[in-house]
Amino acid sequence: MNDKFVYKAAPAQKSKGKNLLFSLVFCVLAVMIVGGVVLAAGRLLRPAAGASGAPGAANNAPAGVTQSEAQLQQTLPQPGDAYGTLRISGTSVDCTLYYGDADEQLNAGAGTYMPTCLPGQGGTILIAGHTATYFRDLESVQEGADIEISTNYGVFHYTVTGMQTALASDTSAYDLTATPENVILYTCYPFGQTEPTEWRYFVYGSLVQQQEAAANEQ
Amino acid sequence: MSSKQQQAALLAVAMQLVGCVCAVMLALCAALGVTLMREGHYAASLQKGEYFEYVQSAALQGCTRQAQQAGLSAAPIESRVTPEAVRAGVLHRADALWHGATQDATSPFGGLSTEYQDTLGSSPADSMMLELACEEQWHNATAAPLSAVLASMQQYRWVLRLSGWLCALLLAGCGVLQFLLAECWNDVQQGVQRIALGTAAACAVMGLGLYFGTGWQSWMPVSDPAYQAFCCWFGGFPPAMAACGVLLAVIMCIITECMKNLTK
Repeated sequence: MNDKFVYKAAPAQKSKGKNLLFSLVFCVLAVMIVGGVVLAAGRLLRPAAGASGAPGAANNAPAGVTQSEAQLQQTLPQPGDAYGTLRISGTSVDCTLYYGDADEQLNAGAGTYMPTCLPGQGGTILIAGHTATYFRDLESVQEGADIEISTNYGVFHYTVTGMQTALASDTSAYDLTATPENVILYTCYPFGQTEPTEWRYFVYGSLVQQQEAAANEQ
Repeated sequence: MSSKQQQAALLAVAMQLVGCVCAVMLALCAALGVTLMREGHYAASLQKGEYFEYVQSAALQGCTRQAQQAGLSAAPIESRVTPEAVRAGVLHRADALWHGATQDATSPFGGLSTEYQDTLGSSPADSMMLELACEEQWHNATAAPLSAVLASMQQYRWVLRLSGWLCALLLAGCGVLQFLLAECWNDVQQGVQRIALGTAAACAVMGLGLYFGTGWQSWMPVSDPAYQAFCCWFGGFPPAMAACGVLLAVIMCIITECMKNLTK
């Protein structure tokens, strides 16, 4: 070993204050840098932690003035708005439902493809979700399961009529003009992938029950 | 002090800062690894939060109602919906998040219809219908809670692993540079002490800040049946962060002290 690393007695205590000062500066800078990373991660996690997906969990439809179906036609949610929650019985799928399916919405919940209908409008509702996050448990869906969409203008129940995998380019897997009211949920397949895949997993449901929110309910 | 020595001292300080940031990142990765990313911690949180009791009660209630509607006794169902069965059922569903989906063989209702027919003399159709209804109730009740947040985290598993190793390597590199740039052991020791103290303080501050300053307790509604489990699950992370930082600092000091003693 180099001679310079032969042990020498510690110098006077004057360097102690300097050491503490340096440590303090390091501490502040480290908190700022790593804290920034943690806060960014927290912002991603927060919407996902909003609902547990546990059976009997409170359904937290976005607060707002209740509307009738007629009023819905006049006050459609704006692109990017959270307009309800989506739950599926027998699974832990329980997330906020957005109007629009851009990355911003899919990072915070499930997104409704805007050219299709909204619940209550009598047509096909096409809803997408990320397979690695909110729609991860779509694989647990069974035929007959209940898809519940709670909005501030009503609660809509659909029963699962079928599931299938199809190529992303296969347009025969969905009919966006179909009536009566039906819902199609889809996500990338295989489940749990973090990158887009060639395959999609579709879950089909048809409307069985519709409860409009009471007009005087707040 | 010569200009070369001054430059070396300045570089050593810069490396101490980099080492401190790496050590805090490493503590963060370690804390995540032992809490939010660990299946055992999740299972323990469900246990502590009495979530399994809730699921057992929900499953029993649902299945008993089905039996009552079919005009059958609920006794065979009650003996099957045990805490162990519930625990296995929920954890199996949660296990799929960590290790992918596997065949679910946790339903306790296999052979229920036979038991009804053999012991209670009920009709095959009624008992089969009841078994299917109970299976569905079971499937509903045992959905893994917090799956959205878990799945969100799971997709960053590899990032966490990679950052952990990278930070450990960088920290070791900074330690070696302290050794190369220092004039004597006292300088090395001082440098490492600065990193260690900075790391411990930063992790303690972050732990406190995360626990008291982020309002994570209100991320989930209190009325949610998994709220207690969520509190146990996420609440374990900030103290782990502080503990990992302090532990790392102690390890750094011990290593330096040992190396110093070897040269005495």
